[in-house]
Amino acid sequence: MKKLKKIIIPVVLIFLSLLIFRYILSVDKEYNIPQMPTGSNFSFEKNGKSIELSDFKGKVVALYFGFTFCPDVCPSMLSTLSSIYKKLDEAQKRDFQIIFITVDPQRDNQKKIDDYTHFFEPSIVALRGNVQHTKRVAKSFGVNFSKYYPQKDSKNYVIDHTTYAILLDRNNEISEFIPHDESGDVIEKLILKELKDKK
Amino acid sequence: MKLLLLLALSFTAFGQNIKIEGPYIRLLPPSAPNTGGFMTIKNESNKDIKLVSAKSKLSKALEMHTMTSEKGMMKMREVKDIEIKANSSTSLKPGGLHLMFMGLKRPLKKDEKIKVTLKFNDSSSLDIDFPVLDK
Repeated sequence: MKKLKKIIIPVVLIFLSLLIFRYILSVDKEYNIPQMPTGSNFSFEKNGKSIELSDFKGKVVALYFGFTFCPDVCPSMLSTLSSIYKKLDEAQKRDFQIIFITVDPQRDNQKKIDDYTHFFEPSIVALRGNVQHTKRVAKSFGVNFSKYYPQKDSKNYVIDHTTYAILLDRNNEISEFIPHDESGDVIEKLILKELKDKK
Repeated sequence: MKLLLLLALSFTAFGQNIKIEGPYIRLLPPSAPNTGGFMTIKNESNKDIKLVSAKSKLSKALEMHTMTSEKGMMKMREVKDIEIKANSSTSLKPGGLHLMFMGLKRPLKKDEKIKVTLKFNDSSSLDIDFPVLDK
């Protein structure tokens, strides 16, 4: 009987711990399922005018959240998108819009973001709103950003941010999330594919 | 004396064993306050080396940065040094390690060359001309 106990108890214990482990995994899985962002219409004031995403219905839109202090991934993505735009024919150009929204409205004023984006491509629409509004809009596209101060007493900060661009179809629906390190060729193919879809 | 000479020779050779390939500074819009510098550092010696600082007159500060991705968020952080393993190379490239020119004193011009002094932990240093490129 003692021998039997010796065997049964560990077996039961292993079985129970497996059950608990499986339960933890399933709970974890449940919470880890990312909610696919669906995007939303947005509105920003620009030079006294309201600009809405829905103004661009009928066009394919590449949307990017960045900031002018960003030395690396933001200019890479803007440069790639702009060079693709420049290669399009006239009809395609009319059907494609790059929109840039600053995640650093404190340091980026309207002139700065206009100058910055127009350097890459003058047709880019650069938008700016207050932080709360920008956060809400960004979140609807799955984009997060927050300030990080390298030194506690310093006024200087960098911004941690989600770096993918979002490709929207002609109905302003999200079609693709484009990682910042995606190759220019792949991004071009995605944009051309979206442009072919006339719906 | 011989020992000193030998030391001096090995020191020089060590310095010469560091090679910089494809250095460039990214041309950014005139309104951009910062920009990045990139290169591949080749260490042809049998010792690990570290890049400990970079200096240039182009900007108020020049730091070495790394980029890491956490839950889809890109985070840029300063690093104290950049290690190049023996007989190996380390690349500073967009989306990863880079030199961060902070507070540019003037707008950049395409194809101009910017002198950058790179210092290593063996106290050797290299002056490298970084061309400003539109890429």
